[in-house]
Order: sequence, then structure tokens, then C-alpha cells
Amino acid sequence: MNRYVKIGLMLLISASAMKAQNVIKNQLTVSLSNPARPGMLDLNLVFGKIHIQGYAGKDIIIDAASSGEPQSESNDGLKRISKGNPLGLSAEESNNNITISTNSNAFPIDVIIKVPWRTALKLRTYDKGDIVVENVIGDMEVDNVNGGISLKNVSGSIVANTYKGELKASFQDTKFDKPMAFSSMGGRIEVSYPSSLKANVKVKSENGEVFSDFNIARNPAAIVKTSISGVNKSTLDDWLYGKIDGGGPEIMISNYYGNIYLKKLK
Amino acid sequence: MSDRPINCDQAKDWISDGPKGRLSDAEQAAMDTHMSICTQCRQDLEDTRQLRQWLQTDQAPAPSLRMQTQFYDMLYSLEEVKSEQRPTKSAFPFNAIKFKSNSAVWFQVAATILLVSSGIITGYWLRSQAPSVQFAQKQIDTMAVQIQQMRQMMMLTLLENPSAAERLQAVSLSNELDHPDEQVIDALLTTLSYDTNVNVRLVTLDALLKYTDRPHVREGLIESLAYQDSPVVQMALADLMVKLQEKRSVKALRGLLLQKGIRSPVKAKIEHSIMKLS
Repeated sequence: MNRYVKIGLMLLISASAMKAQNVIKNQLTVSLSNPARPGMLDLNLVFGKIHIQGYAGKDIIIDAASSGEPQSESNDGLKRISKGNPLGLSAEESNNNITISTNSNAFPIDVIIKVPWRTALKLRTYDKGDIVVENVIGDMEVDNVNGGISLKNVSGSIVANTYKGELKASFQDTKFDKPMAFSSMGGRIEVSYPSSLKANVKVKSENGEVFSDFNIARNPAAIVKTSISGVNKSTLDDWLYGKIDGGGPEIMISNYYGNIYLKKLK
Repeated sequence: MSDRPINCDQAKDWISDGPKGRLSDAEQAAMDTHMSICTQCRQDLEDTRQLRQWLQTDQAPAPSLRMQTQFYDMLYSLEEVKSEQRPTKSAFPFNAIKFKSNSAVWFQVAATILLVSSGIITGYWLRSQAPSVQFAQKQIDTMAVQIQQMRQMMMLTLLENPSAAERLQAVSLSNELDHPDEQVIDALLTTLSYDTNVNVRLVTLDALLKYTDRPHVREGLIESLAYQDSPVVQMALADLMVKLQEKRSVKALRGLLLQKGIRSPVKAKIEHSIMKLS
């Protein structure tokens, strides 16, 4: 099934003219070539927010909206007629892998996508928006630079990184067998699991504090060894290594500024 | 009927009865008449009378001693034959009879004993022939090496997986390798420089910490500095260079400072690191 389906656009453009700017909305529906198997969604934005919602359906419904398309300077009192596909929204489906592209490198586009419960996600945005994922089961790779990441009621192995924003994740279960990683440069990280969590944790907050209500059995810190011109030097690694309830897959959490919270779901 | 002459057949019957006095007078008279006319029957009567007289006069021979012993011998021999056929009918309970008399059972018992004993003997023999502890240890070592190789292969394969979670798993697999060879180290260093995911790079950097006593690893870490565009990894590497007191990294760190779009906290951190190192 290596067919490439370039989906034509269903242009539901409701160009509601506002005083200063237009809000452009597009919707696109994509169906999986094998709906019995979980799909994999890849979305790479430059400017804009991403909001993914799990729902009890089979298709992937993409809603893109933008209010920030730059206006031409001199319209001489004429009404601007927008391009056929101003957002550049398109989606490719191949063997259950869906790749969505937009013109978000030119102006911010906010994307709201409804996906079946079981979908793997690969999301990335750089600026002008947060990434929010709700009620989705599957492996996720989430990257943001100047925004926060919020994962609510999710499941699967998550690899999330942001530079500036806050990173929040709450899990509906502890069914994961692969390692997870959460990292941030300057934001607080808050990860919540059901109390049945079994995991190896590796946590480091360079300039912040680590808080947890899980019972973490600490392992001895690793030793960094080096030898410079015959002098052997050993330094203790700054990571906190520990086991929760006997250990399991590894969860790595690290940041430079801001606290880290590893919480039990109440 | 008494006057009627009797024939020779009847006379013969009467001949044997006559001497015993069983004949009536009329019969005796008829008999006598017949005797007078029939010479044959008279002769028969005479023979019978003589035989009877002989029987009465002749003494019965006494049984000889030998005959007696012969008789008892015969009796004993008869008894022996019987006892051979059913020897213990009265002496033993009946299952014992079956057991003793059925030769197949004895054969089975013998076969069982033979089998069991041959099993025990073979077992002892095999144990004495069993590979020595050293040999077994060698086998275990070979298997450990094979498992190590398999893990290594799995790790190298997983590192090329498009899913970041799988690659993370590959990196954590490398922690389980006891003595990873150059191939693994190179794969980790490549991941550190070229992986698309920041977290995978961070975890890889952490996995490489164990091997910082290898010069090759330290050189690889310095080289990878130039390929880092993520602030988190840049800072982690700068920190590590200070920890390792790796003065050779100063040049690469200065290179980072010149990188386009470097973030101010990173810049401050790197400047601080350079100061500490030089």
C-alpha cells in the first residue's frame, strides 16, 4: 500500500471579514489506508499552536486557522480576495503515516486535529504557540521551542522537549515498555502518573529542585572518569538515579531552570 | 416243561449253575437226560467240574515282598507326578502360586532389575564422563559473549529506528553492555552528533559518561560540540567538558559562541565554562 494519496482540499473557507484582519479557516479530512491499525501523524509547524484531541472515530480531521496573514499595504479601498489555499494546508497519507504541511513558516497557523484514540504523534513547532495533546494513546515525540507542552490523559512512551515553556504531562495508565524523556531548558516540568508506576528514574534539575510523592529508592550516582596527562580523575555525576516500585523502563527528566515535579495522580 | 428235552445252549448255562445247587429238581432231571444223550455237553460238564475242583483245591499264591515294594514304588511315583503337576496347591496362598509358577513374571522381574541397574550404571558412567566445570564455564562464557553480541546488534539496529522512543531504548540497551566495542561507541557518538531528537542526544550523552576514560570517547565528545544546535545539549556538553577538565574543547566551545542564534543563557554558560577551563 505504498500509494501516495494527495488529498484534495475541501475548502470550507469562511472568510469572515473583520476590521483589521481576516480569519481564514480550512478543514481537511484524511482517512487511514488501514483503519484497524494505529496511524502515525507527523506535523511540523514553524509558527503556530498544535492541539490534538483523541476521539472515537476513524478519520483524522484537521482544522487549520490563521488570523495573521500579512496584509498588503496599499489596498486602495479594495476588498482583498484571498488565495485559493492561503494556509497551504495539505496532507499525505502513505501506509497509515500522515504528514501534514502548511505555510506556517510565513505566518502563524493554529492547527486543531481530531485523531482516533490510538495514534502515534510526531509534533513540532518553533514559535507562537503551545502544543496540547488530549486523550491520545500512542508513542509521541513532541518538540517545542518557545512554547509550552501539555499532554493530558495520554498513554504510551513520550519523548518531549521544549526550550522555554512549561512541560506538563499526565498519564492515564502506566502501560509503557519503552523509555521516556522530558527535557526543558527554562521551564518547569510536571509529570503525573497513576500510583501503580514502576520505573527507573533519572532526574536532574541544574538550578531547580526536584519534588515527588513517589517513593524513590535512590541508586548511587554514576562516576565520571577521566585521565589528563596521567592523572586519573573521578567526579560524581549530577544525575539522580532511582527506582520506583522495583524499577521498569527509564524515565528521564531534566531541565536547567525551574523545578521538576514527579507526581502521583489523585 | 420239565419233560421237554433241553438243547445244548441251555445245558451250557446250567452246567455253570449246576454245581452251585441253583437248579431245581426238574431242571436237574432234564439236565441229566441231556447229558446222557449229548457227549459234548457231558464233556463240558466234566471240564467245568474239574476246573471248579481245581479252583477250590489250589491255594491262592501269597504276594511276594517284591510285589509289595513294587506296588508302593508305583504309588510313590504316581504321587510324585501329581506333585510335580500341582505341587503347592495346598501349601501356598494362591497369588504366590501364580507368581512362582508363571515363568513370564520372573522374566519381567529380571528384565526390570536389568534395566534399572543398567540405567544407574549408565548414569554414573555419564557423570564420570560429564564435561568438567571448566568446560561448562567456557560454554557459559561463550553464550554470554553471544548474548552481548546480540544485544549490541539489536542496539545498533534500534538506533536507526525512526521512532525516538525506540532510539531511546537502544541507548539504554547500551548501558547493559559490559564491554562495548568501538562499533557501539562510534554509533553512540554518531547519535550524539546527528540524532534529530534532543532527548535522544541527551540520553546518549549520559550513556557515554561511563566511557569518558577512553581517549577516543573524549575526542568524539569534543568533535560533537560543533554539531549541537539544541541549547540543552550544548549546555550539558559544556558542563561535561568542565568536569572532564578537557582543555582541548575550548576551541570547539568558542566555535559554539560564534554560532548563529545562540541563546543568551547558553552563551553565558559556555563563556563560564571556557573561563574555568583556561
